[in-house]
Amino acid sequence: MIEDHVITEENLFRILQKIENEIGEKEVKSSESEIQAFCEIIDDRNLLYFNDSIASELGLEGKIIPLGYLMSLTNKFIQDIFIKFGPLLFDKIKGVVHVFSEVEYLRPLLIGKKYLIKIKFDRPVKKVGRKGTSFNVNFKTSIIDINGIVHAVDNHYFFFKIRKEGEFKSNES
Amino acid sequence: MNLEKDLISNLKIGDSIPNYSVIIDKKTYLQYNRLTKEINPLHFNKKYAQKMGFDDIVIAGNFLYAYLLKWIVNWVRNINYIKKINIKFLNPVYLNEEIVHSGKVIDISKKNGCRIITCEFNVKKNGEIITSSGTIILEHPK
Repeated sequence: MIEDHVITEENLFRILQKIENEIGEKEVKSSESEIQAFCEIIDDRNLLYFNDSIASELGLEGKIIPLGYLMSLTNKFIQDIFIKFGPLLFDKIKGVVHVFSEVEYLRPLLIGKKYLIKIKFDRPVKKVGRKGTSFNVNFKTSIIDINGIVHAVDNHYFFFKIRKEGEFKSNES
Repeated sequence: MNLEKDLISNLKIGDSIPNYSVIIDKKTYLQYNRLTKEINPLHFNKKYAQKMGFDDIVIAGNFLYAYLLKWIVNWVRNINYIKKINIKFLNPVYLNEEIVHSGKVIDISKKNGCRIITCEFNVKKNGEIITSSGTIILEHPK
């Protein structure tokens, strides 16, 4: 098969490593109003997200960020990567599709507390299917506190749909 | 009576998680996209989504995950038991489609004095198309 795609997995991995080295860590802190807005959107009235004393009854230090919001938090960091490093990627890919996540909850995340998000990339895995060529890329995002203790990990896998010569670019939508 | 302890202590292999149905409408999804400052055009630009081979804008996996966890937390009632979730997004979910979450306990083992409860789940639309599936690992100190 003639390889007419605009990037190889090795080149993509080099770009991802460059991103990993340059992006560093991002500080995140979810406010009460942000979590309240999220809970209203999904109609979740669990008092653990609104009431400190209910949370402490479960042995928690205070109101917690809903577990279901974790992926939204890590995705914000991933979006920042696409914004900052888009020019390195967007002429090579048609688009990205989130296909799989493996999320580990190690410790609760508290509302109003500062955390850091870090990212690490695995080597992309090439997939050739009916709909074209993709690279499976793991954005391993870890949420850690200021003492370096890991609270959660999201292995967030995307298919990078790779552009062929002449195909539209992801920024030509 | 401690309901969450009762529920989790009495779980057996084969027990079902009560189904949970959701329909995500345009207004709700726009609110979520605004909150998370979504930038992937797949999630708000129909023309782009169609170029990518989808019928319409695709609801983000992150948002579907939010409903999955709401379902699980409401079932287990204690977030401390939830340790790990694997989710594979298999088919797109579009606006106004009803998705139904269902699942069951498939394994119970013991490790370090805890009961490790493994559940499998899937989310279907139109009664038959699996849009996502995966596993949930619960850890219950006993």
